[in-house]
Amino acid sequence: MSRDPRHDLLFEPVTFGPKTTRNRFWATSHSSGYPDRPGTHASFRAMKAEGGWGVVNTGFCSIHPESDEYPWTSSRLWDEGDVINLGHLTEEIHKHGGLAGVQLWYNGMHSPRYESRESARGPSGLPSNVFPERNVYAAWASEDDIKALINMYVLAAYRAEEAGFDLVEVSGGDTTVPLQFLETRYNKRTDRYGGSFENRARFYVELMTALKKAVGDRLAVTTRFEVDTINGDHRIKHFEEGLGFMELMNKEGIVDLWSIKIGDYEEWGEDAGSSRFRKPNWAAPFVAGARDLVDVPVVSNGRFTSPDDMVTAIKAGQCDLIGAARPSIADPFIPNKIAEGRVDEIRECIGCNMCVSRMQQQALMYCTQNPTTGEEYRRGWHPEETGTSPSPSAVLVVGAGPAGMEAALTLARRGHEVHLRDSAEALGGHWRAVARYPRCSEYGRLITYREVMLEKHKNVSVQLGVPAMSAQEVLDYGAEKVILATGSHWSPVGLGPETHEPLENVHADLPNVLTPEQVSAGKPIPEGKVVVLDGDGHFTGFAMAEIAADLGRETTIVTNTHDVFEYSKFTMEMPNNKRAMYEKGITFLRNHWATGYAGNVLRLFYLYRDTAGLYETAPGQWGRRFGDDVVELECDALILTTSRVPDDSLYWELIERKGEWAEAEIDGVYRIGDCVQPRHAMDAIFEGHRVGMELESPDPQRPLPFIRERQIWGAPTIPQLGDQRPVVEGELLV
Amino acid sequence: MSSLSEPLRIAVLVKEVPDTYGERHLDLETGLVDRAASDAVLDEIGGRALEAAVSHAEANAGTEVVALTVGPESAAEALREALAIGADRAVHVTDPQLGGADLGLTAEVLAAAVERLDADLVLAGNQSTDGLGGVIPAMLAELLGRPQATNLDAIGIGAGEVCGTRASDHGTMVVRASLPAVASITDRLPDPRFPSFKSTSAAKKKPIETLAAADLGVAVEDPAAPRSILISVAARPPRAGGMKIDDEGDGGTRIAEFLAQNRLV
Ligand code: SF4
Repeated sequence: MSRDPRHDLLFEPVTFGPKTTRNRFWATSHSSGYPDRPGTHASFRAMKAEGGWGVVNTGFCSIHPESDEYPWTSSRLWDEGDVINLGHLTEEIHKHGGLAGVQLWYNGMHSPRYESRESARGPSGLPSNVFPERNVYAAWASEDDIKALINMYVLAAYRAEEAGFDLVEVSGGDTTVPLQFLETRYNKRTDRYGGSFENRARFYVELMTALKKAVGDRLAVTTRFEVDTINGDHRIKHFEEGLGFMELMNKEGIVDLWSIKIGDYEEWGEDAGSSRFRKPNWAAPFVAGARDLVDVPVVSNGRFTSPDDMVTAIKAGQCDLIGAARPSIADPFIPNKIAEGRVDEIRECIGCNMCVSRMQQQALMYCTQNPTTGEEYRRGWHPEETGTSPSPSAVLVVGAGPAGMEAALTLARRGHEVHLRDSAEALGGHWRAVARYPRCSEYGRLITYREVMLEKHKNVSVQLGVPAMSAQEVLDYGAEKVILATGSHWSPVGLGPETHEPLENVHADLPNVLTPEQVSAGKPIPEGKVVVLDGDGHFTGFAMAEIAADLGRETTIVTNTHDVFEYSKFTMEMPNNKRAMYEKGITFLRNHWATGYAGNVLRLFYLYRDTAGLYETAPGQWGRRFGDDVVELECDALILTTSRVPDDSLYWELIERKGEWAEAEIDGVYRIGDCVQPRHAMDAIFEGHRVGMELESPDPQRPLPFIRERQIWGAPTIPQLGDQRPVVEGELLV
Repeated sequence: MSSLSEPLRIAVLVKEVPDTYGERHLDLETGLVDRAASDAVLDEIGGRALEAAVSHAEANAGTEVVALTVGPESAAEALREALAIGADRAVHVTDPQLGGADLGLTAEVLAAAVERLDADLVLAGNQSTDGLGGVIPAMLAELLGRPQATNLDAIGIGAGEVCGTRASDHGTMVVRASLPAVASITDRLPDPRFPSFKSTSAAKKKPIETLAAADLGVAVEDPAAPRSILISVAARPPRAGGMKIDDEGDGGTRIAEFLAQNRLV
């Protein structure tokens, strides 16, 4: 196949500052949680260069211990040790013809600084609203402090150059210090750095000027600017100061390229808009006109996965380069696939924000669609090349949900003879229903991608609409290896994470008790007051509540957790979840759980009704005094998203008949995904992929070890005790 | 011919056809299907006929199911699949002289093969998914001098007869034919089962008998035999580009108008 000529535009080189990129694909800076693992980080970023991205940026990179992001893992350019590790990263990116960029980041008042324990500086001495629970402030910066801040950036830029980066991108988004100076809510100064727009812009201007002077003839000096902070009336509005600032900077000629975004640190979910709330290119109206104001290239993001949408955005004058963070995670090979006319093979980001959610838990980033994310180095996985099996076998995969589909596809790519069977008439397992929940249609891409790819492999036979298999049928099938991916179902009796007991009088056989499967299948939700009892904390309970509310039911969510749909804190969907619930009149009750349901009364208890103190309750017996308060809630229909139960009976039957495997010439029976333990689709797909990659191992049920990266005792440290602190105080270095 | 009290022998007509779900091409010189251009698969309705025969055999011990095809060497693949689905053995009539054989000649060859097999029942799909001729079962019945029960939406085989229902414009007919007979079924019958790994490897050990036209006593060059003549052949016109409706608040109305204009509602 060859490239569609309509997409030729995307492969034109673009020059900015002293650098030229081979095409218009810009892998936007995004965090990953990997930087403390230099091998993992380098291989992850380099995969994007291999997949054709012209520019590959790292994640946010702290320029100084004063802006220590710990417990979040950022890159750092603090000392020579960082130069060595990032040097490896740029080398890997360069091997594949990409330009390497690093985002210089100083967030001062919003940096937790849990490792360095330093004090940060900022335009004003205010507490962070991003982490109100962390009690972090910045110190008022004197004019000398401002010079020191700029010097920190300059030293970091020198180190970036030493590490081999082609461009330094100043973060002027996510409420970092340049933006703090610009925004009135953070800048309460009355000197020449505060007050008027020009004064508030001064720091940013001086900073970019210094960087241009320091490295501008060798490196491109760019910025990621938040043209609209979206949040609150004090916000930077794109149509006022946002675009005004770009114009002002353009006059100064100190920016080689603009990468523009919307949504500040608090509302990061507006930049990383999830598909449940934001369609691709949702920021277009906010960045409109920006490109006309400046003489240098502009990058715009919008979770672009379709080359047609990319071409449209460029032709419409929105931008010169297509920025992408999540799409480049889900498919690092988007550019090459477009270049080779394999657009149907693009593994499109589904906008679930599971990647973001792991980062937000200070963990390592993984991806729902791309199970090889973060595994490039430590497991040696590649999103496009699985290698071939040294010993292909006949594998039966039972269940075509996320785990089963991925296992079958991976096995087929590796040359096994695969039969993928499911009693449903279509691929996808429970995920088919999920993709039909309100707001979740893009989740269907998880199925579509695998459907398209399974089609392309002749050694996998997809057998749908077949009767559910019995253990006998599995034994008679003639498979050498059997993989069970039989999924799970929502508990019909309200088993949940709080009491782990069924609820009294509750069963989904009753007309006024419903599970999500039943709601999807069309079981009517009785009129009146609906309670969604949620122990899941993610999107299913929300979907059920929204379905009920849209039918005009008075809907309340009851949950045991401290916040409603608590996982959405991590996916950055919490604010918009709450806005949508507020708009639709959906109410919630937290820290409560149910015990039973009778008539139209749901009996609840408050989780903390017992005493705080510990008492001698009877002579020699110590404990709490238990409360017995009960909350009664009127409830005409109860929807249960309490917890899921594995569908594992086939597995246990086969285990019971293990003695017959040898005669049936079965080497092994393995299970993956929700039938082992219910989990996020991301982890089910990972397990499907893993078993496909490791089927030849002695026990494919259990993972092979991966490379662990950490400091091994005995190596010299950087810095060492007694080393001097790099000097940033004093006059400007440039 | 075997007596009726004995278990039945069912000959199922199967065919190798280009995959209906893929791109298919005609050779515009010869008017024949370009077999190299698509994946070859077992004919869909023939597969359903096979499933009907195999499930009958499963319930009636001793019944023998023979898959029968006339086709190029590559058609052996389709026969292997038929064996994997559950046919007991297969007969492959293949002969370079039969390349491009028309329906009449094909029916003649098949009739001879059925005679040789001594099959009680010939079961076929009502039409193949490539040629869509739909006349082979009737031609066979005539050549064999047997009753026919064609286009059955449901089929029953038993006690010396084959019966079933056939949809007509005015209702449903119940038809019956005494054996030996020829029957054809429609795509209303269930899909063939997916062969398991075990039946696929078992199929490799089942016999396929290969015969040439001469083995069946069919004289291909017989000038007296009636032959059809191909008058013209044309490629399918390319598809016209679709219409794109941008929703400017009136999307629903415009979709409704489009459907009405094209008589789709
Ligand atoms: S985790 Fe979800 S949102 Fe993130 S890149 Fe993957 S598919 Fe996209």
